Amino acid sequence: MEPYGTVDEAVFREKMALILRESEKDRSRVIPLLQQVQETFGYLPPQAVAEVAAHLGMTEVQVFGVASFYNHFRFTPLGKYPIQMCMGTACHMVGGGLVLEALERSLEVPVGGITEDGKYSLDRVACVGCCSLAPVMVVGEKIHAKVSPAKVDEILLHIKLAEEEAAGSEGKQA
Amino acid sequence: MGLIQLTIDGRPVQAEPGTKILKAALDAGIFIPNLCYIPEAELPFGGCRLCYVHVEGRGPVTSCTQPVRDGMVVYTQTSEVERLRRTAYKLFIAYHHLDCKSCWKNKQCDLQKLASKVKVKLKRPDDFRDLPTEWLPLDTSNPCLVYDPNRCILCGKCVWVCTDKNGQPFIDFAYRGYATRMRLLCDEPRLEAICSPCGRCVRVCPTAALQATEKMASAVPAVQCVE
Repeated sequence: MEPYGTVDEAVFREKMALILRESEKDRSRVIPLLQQVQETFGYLPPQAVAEVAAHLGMTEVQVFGVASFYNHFRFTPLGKYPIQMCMGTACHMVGGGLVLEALERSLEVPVGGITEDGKYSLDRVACVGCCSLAPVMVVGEKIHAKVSPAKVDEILLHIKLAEEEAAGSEGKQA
Repeated sequence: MGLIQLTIDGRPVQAEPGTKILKAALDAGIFIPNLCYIPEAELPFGGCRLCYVHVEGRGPVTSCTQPVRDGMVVYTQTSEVERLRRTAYKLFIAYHHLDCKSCWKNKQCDLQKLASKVKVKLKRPDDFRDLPTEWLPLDTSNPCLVYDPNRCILCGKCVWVCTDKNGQPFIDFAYRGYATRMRLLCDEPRLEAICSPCGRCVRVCPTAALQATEKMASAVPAVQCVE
């Protein structure tokens, strides 16, 4: 999967062509196709929706209607560090909402948004399956347990420092 | 097969087999409120929930989806179905931009005309008074149309007429639940080729949700253009 950001035009064309070539031109394939597109790019670019529609002989508004119906599909790219805040019952009950608000404040993006530099995207999810650790926040693959609004900045700072360190060591190697 | 005999509000009515109660009633001159019903449509949309009638032995049903049966006894004005209609109507106007006096569709609006029929005052119902009233922006992405989500009742008539004419809709439902609204085709270079303005969606719209721009009005004189 492309890690983050919008995809290069040529890469996009190539990958789209690959996805569409393997798919039947039947409108029952619309959801599997959209899923494949999202797996490939991390989100559904508007151009991809148009191409899926053209491939299946549907109109763009029809495909968009299907895609926007399901929470599974997203229309904004994932950040380099996709943040998911759990809003399942357990996390919700122990202040997950406050953590989410703190995340919105710190990142200055609303839920479902992505920061301007494309680094962080913020989403709410319903249960990540480890309720004993509530409230849970997931960054990429890493699970942060028992988070609080005060811990949000700490976690974000850790990510930033780790990234700077990685960039620094890369610089040294080069 | 012969005609089916049924009774609507005590009046004997005849209808072809397979006819829905709503059509039979309207053809017989008995009015049942409706907003999403399209006589030519093969399948009823059944979304407005205004056409409730009481069928003896069955209770309230939406008359646009219920086929007539021999000996059926239908009442269109029991207190029960009137209450169901009022609730459905209130839900329409709960989030509706109820500025009828300055609305361009004032006095031609089907939603407005039905208010007296279902006995609901055209103001925000008390039950919904505390809800937020942030109006959504107009959608002007299609050069022929202006779509006002705050006046749309999601009856789906525009989708039906567009599909009927083009084989596929260039306007369709998007999103879900409270966020549901119509989405217009907006890809301008291709628009010229596929959505040639015919104005059907504007004419069929029961409210002021779809409006023709000058561009459409110049192509289709029958459509009133209001800016």
